Order: sequence, then C-alpha cells, then structure tokens
Amino acid sequence: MDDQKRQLIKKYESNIILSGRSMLFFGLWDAFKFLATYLYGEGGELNEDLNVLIQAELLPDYAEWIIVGIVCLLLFSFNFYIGAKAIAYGKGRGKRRVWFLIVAGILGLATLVGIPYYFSDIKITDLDSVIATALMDVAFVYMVFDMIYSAGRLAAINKKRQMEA
Amino acid sequence: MLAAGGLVLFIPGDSYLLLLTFLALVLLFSGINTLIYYFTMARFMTGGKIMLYKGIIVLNFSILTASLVDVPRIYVLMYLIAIHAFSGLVEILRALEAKRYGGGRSWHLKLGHGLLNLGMCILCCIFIKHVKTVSIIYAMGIIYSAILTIAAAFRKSDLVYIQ
Amino acid sequence: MQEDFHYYATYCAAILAGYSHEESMEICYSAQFVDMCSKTYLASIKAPLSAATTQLQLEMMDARTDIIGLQEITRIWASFHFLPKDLYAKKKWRPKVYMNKYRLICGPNSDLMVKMVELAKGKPLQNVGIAMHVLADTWAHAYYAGTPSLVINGTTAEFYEIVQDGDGEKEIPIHFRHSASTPDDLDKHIFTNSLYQGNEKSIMNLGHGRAGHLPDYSFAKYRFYPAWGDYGDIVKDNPSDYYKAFCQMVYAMKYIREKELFFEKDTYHVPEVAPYRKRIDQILRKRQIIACDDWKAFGEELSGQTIEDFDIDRFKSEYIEVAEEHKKDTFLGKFIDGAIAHKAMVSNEISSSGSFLAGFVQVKIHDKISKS
Repeated sequence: MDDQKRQLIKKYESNIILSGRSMLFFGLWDAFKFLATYLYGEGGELNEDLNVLIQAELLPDYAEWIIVGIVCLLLFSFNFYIGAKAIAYGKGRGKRRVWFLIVAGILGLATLVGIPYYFSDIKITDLDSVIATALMDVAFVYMVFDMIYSAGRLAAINKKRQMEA
Repeated sequence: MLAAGGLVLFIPGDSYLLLLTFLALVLLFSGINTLIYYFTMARFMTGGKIMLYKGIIVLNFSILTASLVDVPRIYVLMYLIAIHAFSGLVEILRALEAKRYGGGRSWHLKLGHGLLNLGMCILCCIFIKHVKTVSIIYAMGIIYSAILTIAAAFRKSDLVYIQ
Repeated sequence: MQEDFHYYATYCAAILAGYSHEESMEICYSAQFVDMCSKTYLASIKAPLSAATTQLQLEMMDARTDIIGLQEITRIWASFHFLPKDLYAKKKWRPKVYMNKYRLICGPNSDLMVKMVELAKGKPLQNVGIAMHVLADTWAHAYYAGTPSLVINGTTAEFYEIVQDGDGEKEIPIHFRHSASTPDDLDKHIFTNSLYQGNEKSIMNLGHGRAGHLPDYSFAKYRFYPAWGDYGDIVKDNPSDYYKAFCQMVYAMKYIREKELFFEKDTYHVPEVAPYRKRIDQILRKRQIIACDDWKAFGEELSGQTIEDFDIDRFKSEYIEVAEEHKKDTFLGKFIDGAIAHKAMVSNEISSSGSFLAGFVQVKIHDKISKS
C-alpha cells in the first residue's frame, strides 16, 4: 500500500475517532440544553403538565426531577453510544458496522433542519442565547457530516485496496 | 478566584454580572485565539482538528455566558455550579490518570481538589431553593479552590522534562 | 544523544580520524560539555552568558515564553541540539508562520552541517568538539525542531518499538508515563515522556519531549506519527543512524585534519571504521539505557590509553584563576569563543532565511571576550 493511501486512511480514521469523542461532549450539551429549556424556556408546557399531575397527586413531588433526570441521561447515553461506536469504528475494533452512521446522519439532518426555527419568533433579549445554541448545533452538524464523509472515504479506499489485492 | 469569592460573599447583588462579564470576555478571547491558531497552524497538524472544535466550543460558551446576564440569579448560579462540576470531574480524571502513569504525589492534591469541587456542586444542588445559602457555599468553594491553587504553586512538583 | 556517544564515542571517532589521545580528550570533552554549559554554570565562573549551549530544567521552568524568551530558547536549541535541515523548505498551502517553524526541523546532511564542519577547519579543538556534538545530534534528534511548537514537535500517542522476532521484525506498542523519577523499563517497553500540552509555545513542546528518551537510545528502532507528517509515519532506526553518525564524525574530523580534500554529505564509507563495524554494531544494538562502559572499553582498546571520566569542573579553576586578558587562551575560553561563533553563525543563517524565531544576530569579531 503506498504512503499516500496509508496517510489518507490514518487521516480519516483519526477524524472518525475525534468525531466520536466529540459526540460525548455533545451528549452533555444536549442534556444541558434540555434542562435549561425545561427550567427556563419552551419546556414550560412539560413543566405545567407535570405540575398538574403532581397537584392531582397522581405523581409524587419529586417526580418531575426524576423524569427530567431520566431524559437527560437518555440524551447523553444515546450520544455516548454513537460516539463509542464511532471510536471503535475508527480504531478498527470488531466488525465495521455502519448503522451508527445512519443514526448520526438522521440526528445531524434533524439538527440542520431545526436551526432556522431558532430564529423564528425570537425576542431581541433572547438573541444571544439563540445564537449560542445555533452555533453549537452548526458545529454538531459539521462534526456529524465530517464523520460520515470520513467513513465514506475510508470505505472507498479500503474497497479499492481489496480490488487491487 | 479569591477576589471572585469575596465579591460573591460580600456584594451579592451585582457581583454575578461582573463575574459573568469577566468569564465571557476571557472565553471570547480564548475561543478566538484558538480558532486563529487552528486556521494558521493546527489544521496542518496530525490530529489538529480538535483545536477547531475546542475553539468553537469555547466561543459558544462565551456567548452563552454573556447571554446569562438577564436571567434570574438562580440560573446563573446553576450555570456556574455546572461549570465547576465539569472542571471537578476533569480534575478527578486527570488525577486518576496521573496516578496510573506514576505522576508522583501531586495526584493526591488534584484528586482532593476535584472531589471538593464536585462536593460543593452537590451541596449547592441540595440547597438550590435557598439562594443565599447556595451563594455562600459557592463563594466558600471558590475561595477554598483559590487557596489550594496558591498552595500548589508553592509545592515542589515533579516536572517531566526530556533534555 | 547521551554521554555515551557525545563523550566516549566521539573519543573513539577522534582516535580513528588520527588525533592523538590528548587531542581526542579535548575534542570529546568539548562535545560532551555542550550538554553542560548552561547559563547557571557560566554565571558561576563569571563567563559570558551568551555562550550558553544548553538550558537546565530549572532554567526552562523559569524561561519566558514571550517573543524574547522564545528567541533565546530557539537560538540555543536550534544551534546546538537540533540543527535545521532545510531552512528553505517549501510546502504547499502553509502560511509563513507555520513554515518558519517547519523549516527548523532537524535532520542530517544539511547545508548548515557542511558549513559548520568547514568552519571548524583551522580552529581550536574545542570548535571541533562542538561541531561533533551538533553533527551527532542531527542524526539522533532528526524530525524534531529546536523551538517550542506543538504543531511541529507534537506526536500522536501511537509509538511502536520494532524488535527482532526470529528472522523478521515485530512491532510492540510503547507505553508512556510521566514520572521523572522512575527509570525507563526497557523489558516492558514503558518509557517516560513529557505531558501533552495544548499550548503551542509551551516548553514541553520543545524538541523530542513527546518521544521521551527514545531518540537518545542507540538500540531503539521505532515507528511514530509526528505532528508535521500529514498523518504519515516515520520509522526511526537508531542503530543504523548512530552508525552513520559515527562514520560521518570520523570523516568530518579527517577533513578537519586535512586528510580529506572535501567534506561531502551522505558519505559513510570510511576505511578506518570498517574493521570495527561489527564491534560498533554490537555496542549500538545492546539494549541498555546508557552504553558508556562499552564505548569506553572500545576507546581504550583503540588508543591504549585510559579515558578519564567526564568531570564538568576539570577546567573550571584554570578559567577562574587566570587574568582577564588570558581567559581566551584557556580551555573554557576557547570553548566559549567557539560556542558564541557557532551560535551566531546558525542564528544568522536562520534570520537570513526570513525567520525571526532566533532573533536578529550581528556577527562581529572580537579580540577580547566581552561579558554579556
């Protein structure tokens, strides 16, 4: 295998591993975003629904925190799992399965589609936090598509190597 | 950090605004510097892409920090507590890594510092409904962190330098 | 490289090049002294601080990392330990700020190295010793730069030692730790290196810190990914490189003694070394942290004389006690002159290439040593 191909393989593997590690961070960010919007923002409806259930004594007082905690944990775990799969893929551990790329792609696409909606009906006082959130989502989208692109290029190079062998 | 702790303890009113503004500016310059570094140097480095993500994340946090000035004090406190929880976690992980790689005795101090940061955050979460209590706990936490940092500066530590 | 090569191996090379025992002792002492001559030492003997050829750990901890401090660090390390291979290297799409550091990457057989050897001709033996130290280090410290830089001196965490396995070779992953006090465990392939520092100008990113002492072990053959390599790997074959370094030292010293008409790059076939190839190879490939005893035994066999162990204070009293106007005639005085001249030459070349990482240098010739 010539040097250039080896360098490209190393580069794309490195990109995938980095993207996988970044998914862990974005998992934390998603959990934090949910918590922030629940406490101070559009989570108000969920808050109201839970309050109704609590007041009707259908749920205990601490139920809202348990539910919020579970949702945050789920959000983080989901990203963590995809990130771990990406890292394993980049390091060549086990069989190279691509389903995590499909899931990440769907997430990325959904995030990309959702970005313009941040800017509809915003108040001027909320502009700074909206920009921060949108920027983070742009970074997430870039990271996901970089991961998918790198995986695609890696697969193409490996396929070409197999054909030449 | 000592000054910040004192500020929060003795001038509880607008001290958060000053803290947040200062933090936002520091993060802004750090983020921009990192991005400039990425585009001029690190993008040619093996594994340099991490600088791009680091720069974007730091820049984001600076905007986010600046956006919190018009938010009720409790949420500001929660944000600052979350930052300390995160840094406490990182400190613990670094201490465990230093212990694993035989980094002398400096890992004890790091581990203690990290655990203290986390403990402070947990205490703040428990008393979250009593804003003044949380302010005092938070202020004492960062004053103690400042004292530990100053003490660590005077400590002899192993420096691995390959000549 | 370590004392085993800079002191004892340089002695062996000097003997094979035709120098006498006393001359070889002066050369090898000067070569090893390059690793000892710090500002702290110079201050203790009231010598010009500008002659510093190294920086101690404590000096590095106190070193400034602003532009002045970085220039001072680069002047010393790029001149004496990481001589740049190609100050006019070209690489596509890289801005000047990156290329300034890239061009400081050390490597053997550079134009600067040839110029250095040519300049040592007709000069005192101390200049020869300095030149031999720098020449040897171009082999050991290849692929690293004598300026703090994460994007040049950084590496990935993947290091593999290549060891013999029957008729072939196999790769064993190297594990690094960050313990200053624990020696490297050669059997378990555990070595000490410096901690990762994300700051571009941190002194932890100077030279080969991220590879630990691997470049200084003559037995080590290993593969790694340097930060400047565009995801390409480098195989560093120290036994082969050190042998070439040894041959090149003999060839260079023969040229300096006017036993060779020209000094050319990439010349390793030296008749005086050939009979001892197997012996030298054995020393180089022996898996040990330091090979002083083996090189010393070899040197004493070659010359039939006893090689005194290196003593940093051997010439100290001579320098201190003599009058000011005669200091330049002492051993250390000649070394200091040689070091200043060499540093000025290299720094001048770096600044002529358009990089100000080593600062501006005006080369002036003095009759007297001036204190800085």
